[in-house]
Amino acid sequence: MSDESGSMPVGGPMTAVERTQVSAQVKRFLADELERDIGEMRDDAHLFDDLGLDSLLFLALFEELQGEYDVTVDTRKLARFARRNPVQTLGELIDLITRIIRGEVLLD
Amino acid sequence: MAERVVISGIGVVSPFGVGRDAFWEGLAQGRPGVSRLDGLDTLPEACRFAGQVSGLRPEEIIGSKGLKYLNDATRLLLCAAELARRDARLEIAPELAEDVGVVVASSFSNVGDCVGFYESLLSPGERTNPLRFPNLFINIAGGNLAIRLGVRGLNTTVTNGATSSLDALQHGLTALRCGRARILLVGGLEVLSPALIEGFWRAGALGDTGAPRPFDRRRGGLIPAEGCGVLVLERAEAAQARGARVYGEVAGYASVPVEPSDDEAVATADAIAEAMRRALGAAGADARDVDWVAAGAGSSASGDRGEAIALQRVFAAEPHRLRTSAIKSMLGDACAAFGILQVIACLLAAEHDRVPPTINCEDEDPDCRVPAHVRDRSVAHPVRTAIVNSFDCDRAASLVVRASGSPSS
Repeated sequence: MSDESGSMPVGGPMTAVERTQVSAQVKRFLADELERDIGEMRDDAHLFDDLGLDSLLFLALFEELQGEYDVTVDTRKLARFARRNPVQTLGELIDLITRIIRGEVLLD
Repeated sequence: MAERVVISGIGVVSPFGVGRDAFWEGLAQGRPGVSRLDGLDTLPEACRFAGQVSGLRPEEIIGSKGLKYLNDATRLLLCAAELARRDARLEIAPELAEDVGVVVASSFSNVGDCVGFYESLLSPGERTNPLRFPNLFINIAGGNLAIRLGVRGLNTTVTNGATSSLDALQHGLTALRCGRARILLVGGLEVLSPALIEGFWRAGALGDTGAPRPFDRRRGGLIPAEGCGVLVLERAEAAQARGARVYGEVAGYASVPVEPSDDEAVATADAIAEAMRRALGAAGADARDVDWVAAGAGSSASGDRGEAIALQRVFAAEPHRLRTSAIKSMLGDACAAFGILQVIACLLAAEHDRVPPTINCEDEDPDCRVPAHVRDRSVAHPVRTAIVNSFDCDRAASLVVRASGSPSS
């Protein structure tokens, strides 16, 4: 799904089902790592102010998902992309991750 | 005029167990705290001994939340610090955050984490978790302690060989006296790991006597140890206002380099003697005032002899108050952390009016005659002024501690 340069080709449209699956996984992972109740993992939860998500946990999350979806993401390009396109809430993060997995996002 | 800074809380996790009382009981009983190491099959059997912390359950002291990626060193420091905080009855309100700081003396407490991280990187098919990365930095424990406590004041990790603990204390005192902090937690922290011990062995530093034998004819090198002691330091009036106990204070400090020399023992002796004299001078005290020297000797062939010679010189008059012993004989050598453990031993010795012994010194080396040496069993003896010595082949540091004794005295 990814070429040697680490940039990813454009893929198909995002579907609700896929987002649901990604959402469940991300929320489960973060609830576990942050030692919070799954109920606190709401789409409108603020990543930093409410959940205390930091850059290393963000990377750890991608490590986890790469294993699940057999996707390779260059972490430096991801970090650069994230700095330029910051997400504020958990819902926005899940949207972004879903698009990355589906190959809809160009990381460069 | 410098404000009076006192020690108002003690927390300790050591090879004798968890807490202040366990630490004192071991010292008072003259108990051997060094035990056999698991694994390390490439080492000769006689080298597989160390002072090890066991039976620590961090969840019971600091709760289980947020522990997952904290390395052993951080867990150990957080536990000892929590015990010290409780002992000092210290509640850290958010308004205090910038006035409370942390100073940690540590050299090798994260070597195991570095090795483990690298092994993970080399393992095919294993994804190395980025959350383990911060543990590669020696100040991770001190940093995590500040995060845990919600404090944002001075934060320093001191890595300076054997004198690290005493240097850390002095650094903390200087900061307090010039107003850079109002309250400090000052800790000494070391954690052992197989790679580290293997490294000591390959460097020819590891002792093969099975137990530490300071000043003994059979002494044969380092018996390493781990552990963590934490002291709460603050201005006297603040401690008293809170109803906290004043254990005592640091009255004097000196650090002197060991000159390179063919005769390491004599060069070490010169440095230790000078450090003791200067520390006593800074404390406005005299050799005759000293009740206990908590010797830094840890089974080094030349180092122990150096300290014995220094003691003979400084205490040439054989003052009747003096008692001397080396508690590394019981705990092993926790290197950067040991000075804080010695200071804690002084404060507790004062509380109980009892001096711990040097053990494993059945055959005191005639070249290491130690004045007023307490061997084998602890002795009843009032302790109000004590000296702590820390040294290696590069530096010698001495601290004069004035202890308050038992609260009821």
